[in-house]
Amino acid sequence: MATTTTASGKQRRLAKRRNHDKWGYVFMAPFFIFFLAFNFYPMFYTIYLSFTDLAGWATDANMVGFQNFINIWNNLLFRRAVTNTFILWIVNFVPQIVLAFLLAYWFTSRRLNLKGVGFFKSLFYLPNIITAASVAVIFSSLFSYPRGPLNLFMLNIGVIDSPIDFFRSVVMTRLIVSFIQFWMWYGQTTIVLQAGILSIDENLFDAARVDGATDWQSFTKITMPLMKPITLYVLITSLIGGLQMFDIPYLLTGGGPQQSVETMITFIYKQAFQGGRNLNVAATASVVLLLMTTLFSLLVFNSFRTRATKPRKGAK
Amino acid sequence: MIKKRILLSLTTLAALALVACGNGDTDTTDTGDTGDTAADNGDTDTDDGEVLETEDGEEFDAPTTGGAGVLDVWTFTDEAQTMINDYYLEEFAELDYEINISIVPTEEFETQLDPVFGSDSAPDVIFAEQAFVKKYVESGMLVDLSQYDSLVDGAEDTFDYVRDIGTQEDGTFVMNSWQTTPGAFFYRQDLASEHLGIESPEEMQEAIGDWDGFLDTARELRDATDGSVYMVSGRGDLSHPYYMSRDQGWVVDNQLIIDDQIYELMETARTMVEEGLMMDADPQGEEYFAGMNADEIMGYSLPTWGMHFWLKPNGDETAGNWRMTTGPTAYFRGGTWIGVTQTSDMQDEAAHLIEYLTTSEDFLTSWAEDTGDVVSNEVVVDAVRGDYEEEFLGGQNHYDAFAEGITTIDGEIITEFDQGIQGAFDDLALTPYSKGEMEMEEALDSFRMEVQSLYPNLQVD
Repeated sequence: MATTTTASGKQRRLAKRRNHDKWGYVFMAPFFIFFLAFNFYPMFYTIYLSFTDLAGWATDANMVGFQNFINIWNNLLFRRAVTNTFILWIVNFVPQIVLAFLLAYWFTSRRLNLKGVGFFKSLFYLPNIITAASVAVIFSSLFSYPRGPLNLFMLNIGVIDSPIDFFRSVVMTRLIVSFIQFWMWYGQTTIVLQAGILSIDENLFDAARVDGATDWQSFTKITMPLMKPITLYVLITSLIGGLQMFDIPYLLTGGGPQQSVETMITFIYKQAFQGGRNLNVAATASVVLLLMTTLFSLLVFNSFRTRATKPRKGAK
Repeated sequence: MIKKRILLSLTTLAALALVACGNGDTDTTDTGDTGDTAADNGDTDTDDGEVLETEDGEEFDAPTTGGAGVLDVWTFTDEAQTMINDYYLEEFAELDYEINISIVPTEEFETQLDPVFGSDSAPDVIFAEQAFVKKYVESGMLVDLSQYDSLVDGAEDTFDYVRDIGTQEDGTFVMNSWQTTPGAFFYRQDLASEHLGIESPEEMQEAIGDWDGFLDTARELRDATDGSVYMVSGRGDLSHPYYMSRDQGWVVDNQLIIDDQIYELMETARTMVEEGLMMDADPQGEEYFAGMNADEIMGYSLPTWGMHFWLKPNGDETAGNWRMTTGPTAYFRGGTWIGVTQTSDMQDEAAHLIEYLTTSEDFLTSWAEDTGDVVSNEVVVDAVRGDYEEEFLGGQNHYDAFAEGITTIDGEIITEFDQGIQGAFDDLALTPYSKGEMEMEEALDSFRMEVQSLYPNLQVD
């Protein structure tokens, strides 16, 4: 009698545990529902749209094969948008990674032992907290013509004779957009790189110091190689973000002057919501962007892989 | 709406699919609030509706539809609210249905309306302004108003151009308006007397009656003031009069038309920049509005509503010194039309509202008297035009002066492509050419390229 109750009690407990397991699916469900509804379905719907002629008021989509892809290949504005996007990204990324490395190195250097590191880290991160809309407003009034603060300042100290219309100059506008991207994101990059440096085993540096390595040597021979995975991460996320550059160019000048800061996403946005509301073109451009993002990420990924002698685990 | 939004988020997905977390260089979306407009929220209705934001961070309530038995009106002007609440509902207090008015800021109006237009979630009544009215008129998704006899009878007295714009290419009359929006040249009488010896609007009109006279007067002004007073603020004061003096609209038979007047506009703008005759301020920019209170700009080209909404509030220190005259050419700018969607289940009620707002002489008379708006009914305009004295214009009768210009307006040249094409023209052709950054053909080429991209089905050259 007693044994049977214990046995059935055990079974009950087991049964209960199995029920608990099912809750795992329930807790996971929200993510998958959201993923399917807002990521998975839209992606395939967009790919589908890129093969149709849906535009303007039309509600029925007709299949047109690869016509949209041929058209976008011949679309000069889209080509210009691709070039612009890369120019803006490279001009912002190169100085960004250099400065971020330098700051990360200073912040972590035990020999320098800087004071107020925490304060400066927050200070450099601050631009990232301000929303893009506000940043765009701040910069457009800073650089405004003919009586913006910067123009007035430069006139007063005699650097220039007549005000400069920054947003009418292709080079200036691109520089300003790249600078804003740089300014908004170098703090973030610094923090990521610093985390990478701090994760390197201290013993390696100590050993190097015992062997008589200089600061520069231990930086180039220890820090840099061990930072590869984290640099790869920074590079790929920045590339993906850079290819999707939208808010600053759009809010600052709307793509002008002379379409010089028209990026791929501003092109997609304009196609989808302005003019003839060419959803098919916007969808096609989105698919092209997806392919480009995939391709470039794989390229970067592979080029890092082959050169790394020992892929490190864990730092990812 | 969701489907279209998703297009944008697709690329975000691409990022997410590759890397689980995002540092990224930019965000594709912004949820920013610039802060300076946050104060506006206090007086907005906070039902349980969604709150959206414009590009500049200004918040607004998402437009709503009330379902069966509620007449949904989507508009971008708060005038609509006043007209409906204080006039229509006063007159017809016994209506057995509710009217639900949603006000969406102009720049967001199309993005809110387009995705639902033509579906069951569309509102019953829509307002549309000149920049995009033709898009909805030609959509073929608005109710033919000519089936309502009393409305058609009332519209007999509506100015021709107003009706023309509300009429589809095939002759179907789908939208009508309560107002006309003729433009004028507003100038500073005190500056004109001091520097040009011009003592009255008539003398001014004589001097600037055509573009040659306009340029000569501008040169005279520059010489008399050593360039410290400009004739106009910038290209914005030239483009609207020039647009309206074209022979053909931007698009005829699916072909992009660059009218002779467009070339002339580009030349005039360039001349004025080169010779220092205009300030070259961006239209509706900081300097543009600041000039209304300073002594640097002689005049502005503005329509009826421009005087009320732009000049008066920004020219409080110069009030009383302004006068108005026709300028080199008669033109109009803006205006709001009203139509009924075919998906509406309350078409008769909607038409009744439109009939009252756009054709009722009683309403239009009191609206004209209460607000000074130049209404669309010829009979009413003729009856009231003699009775105005605008203190801002030193006692000049603005209504009479505006009414003068209405009959010369041609509505035929407004097309459904105007908004996109004019934006592209200003950005890519007029501005760079006037500033001497590009030559004519180069500028027009990039303009054509953009137009082709916005409207792939148009023939651009």
